[in-house]
Amino acid sequence: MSLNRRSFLASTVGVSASLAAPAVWSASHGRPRVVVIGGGAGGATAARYVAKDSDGAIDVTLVEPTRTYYTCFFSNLYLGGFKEISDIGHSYGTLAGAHGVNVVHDWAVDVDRGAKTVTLAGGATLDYDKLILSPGIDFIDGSVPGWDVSAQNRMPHAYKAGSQTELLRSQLMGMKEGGLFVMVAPPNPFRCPPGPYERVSMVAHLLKSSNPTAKILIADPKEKFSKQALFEEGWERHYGGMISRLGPDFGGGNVSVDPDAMTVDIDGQVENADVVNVIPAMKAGRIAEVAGVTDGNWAPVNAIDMSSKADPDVHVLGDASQQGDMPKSGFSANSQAKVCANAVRGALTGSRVFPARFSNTCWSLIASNDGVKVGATYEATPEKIARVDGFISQTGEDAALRKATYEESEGWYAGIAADIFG
Amino acid sequence: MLRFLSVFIPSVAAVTVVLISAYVFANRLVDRAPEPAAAHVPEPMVVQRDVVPEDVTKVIDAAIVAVNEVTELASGSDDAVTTSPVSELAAAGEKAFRKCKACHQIGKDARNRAGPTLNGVVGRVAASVEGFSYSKAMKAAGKRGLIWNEEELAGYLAKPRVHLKGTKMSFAGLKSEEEIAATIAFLKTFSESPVGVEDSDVSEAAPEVSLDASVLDIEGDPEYGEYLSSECTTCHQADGADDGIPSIVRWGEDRFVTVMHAYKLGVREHPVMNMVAGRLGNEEIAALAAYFAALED
Repeated sequence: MSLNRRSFLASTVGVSASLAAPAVWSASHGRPRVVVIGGGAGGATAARYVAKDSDGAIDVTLVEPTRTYYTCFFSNLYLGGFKEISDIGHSYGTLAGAHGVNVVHDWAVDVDRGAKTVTLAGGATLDYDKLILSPGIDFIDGSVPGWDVSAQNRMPHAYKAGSQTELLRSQLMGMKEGGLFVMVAPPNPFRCPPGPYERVSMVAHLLKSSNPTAKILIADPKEKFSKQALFEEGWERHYGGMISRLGPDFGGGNVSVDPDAMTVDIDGQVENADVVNVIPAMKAGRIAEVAGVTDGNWAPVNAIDMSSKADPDVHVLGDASQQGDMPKSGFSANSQAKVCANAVRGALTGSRVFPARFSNTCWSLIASNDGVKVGATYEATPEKIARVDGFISQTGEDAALRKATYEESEGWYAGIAADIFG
Repeated sequence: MLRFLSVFIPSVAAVTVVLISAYVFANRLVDRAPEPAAAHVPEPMVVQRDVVPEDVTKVIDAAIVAVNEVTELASGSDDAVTTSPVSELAAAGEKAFRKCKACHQIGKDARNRAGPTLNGVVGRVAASVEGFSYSKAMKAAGKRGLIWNEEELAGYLAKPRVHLKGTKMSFAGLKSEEEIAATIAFLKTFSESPVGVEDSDVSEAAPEVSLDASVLDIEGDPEYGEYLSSECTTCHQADGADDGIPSIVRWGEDRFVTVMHAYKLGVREHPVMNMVAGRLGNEEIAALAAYFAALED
């Protein structure tokens, strides 16, 4: 089928490119160049779609430091024992081999928007005509007093999946009987709004069988959180008495930690903890700031094509972008990447540009076969990406529906992984 | 961690107070009547130092195996769908249908009377029975795509003249929800493709909506369809693999268009598909069908 798809593309794209390209692109430049920074749900999707749909007409380089990318989505299911770590790891071989993406495993350390170049940590410089930034998130220094990157081994964040996720799981598995797991939840806005609460569910699932007298305490600076009624109903049903949450009314927003003493200070009350998961406040991945396209913590973009409000030749995708109503999720980043890829390809080769349309669905697992979901569709307005319509799972749904929802999430994972990494 | 393994006695009272407060607070948030608080007072957190990590690991490994087994068992029993007492409901509906009989015929040899024949009404586009002279309002409803799905029928049967202003059906409405549900169940037995639960193979299910030929005849723009398909391929795999979300490749164009309209109109129920299809216009659905058809050539 891919052969048919490619030959089909070759004919249609070839025709439109040869007719329209000269008007858009000067032949003196040679092949137009797209550099993508960040190989996650946003960046890898954008690289794949630009390369695949332009069928060789655009030179695409993807800069991503890791050889194996572990998705944050479904990493909680690994914590809960539903997945192996290898199940959520993906390589870039298909992007390189099947789509001709030049995959460079290096860190981008500088962007010169005047010269239109990206400098890599290894010293190389890449020229671009269009730059796509999809760097995900970094943590805001000092947002949880006492915690910094040097403490992430004692108190893992596990909010960039991979070794941190494995570390947190090994700590949970080695936790003493009847011990205390504390999660310091992040303030809005942050990557994957249901993520911390799905994580609590998965930790509870793990502990319920292995360490049933263990306790879970969430210190949360937010009044409310995503899918709250669904999670709280599920926690009561599956893990009654195990999970407590201190919201801002109970000092959940006034938290500091002492990684050496393994204590968490919640509004003056010091808890001795056995495993602590600190999820600090977040901002756009650092390279967005270095590129000078951020305003505050995030990079504002135009909804129509995800182009930076600071530079029409720079696009920002996913968690790092400030786009409006879409939650920061892998699904959102993937959706935004396709709109961006269509626009970038149109600008560089004269291919047809279609109206932006966005969607998102987030599945969460509360316990075995107890899946829930929330989703919405979005449109581009002059001001922002605006929500059009949506849905959410309901409390009290029957077991068959919850099981079907979980199975659907498995199907979605297979689908989006293929859509991102080829 | 090791440094922390010195014994500490938590202030049980203080921790308990905090946890009870949190419990009460959480309940207030979800607006549920709290169960007796005493049942939920957490166990005092007594931290012990004599933990042998290897043992814990073993226990957890065992637990994971157990979970996997349970999962497999559960997914293996997929096909055991319990039959609901549909026939009982339909029998009750036959009784209720007496109220409709004065104007509507159903079954073999049914003909239009004061009201149109009701064979196949469930899932049918409004005002689509040939030879029946519908009210202006009903014709307009059909034109804008009203499908007699269960929800629409329930609303209409409860209060016809409120639900569809201008209808010429001079009937006050069925009074109880049970009666309405039973009547619809009865009507469904005379509909070729009653609307049921989601089929696991969505492509093989019979069409539930009868689309106007003009909708099926729209020539889709495959290039636009390719762009639009990227919204599908976030979940549905482009190579046709099915790991929990159905394949959507290798369908005929008409089939694709019909199913998408069934989702768009809510005849088929699935929150994600209702949302996604609900935003697609006729041209866009045709474009998608054309693209997926081009893929299989």
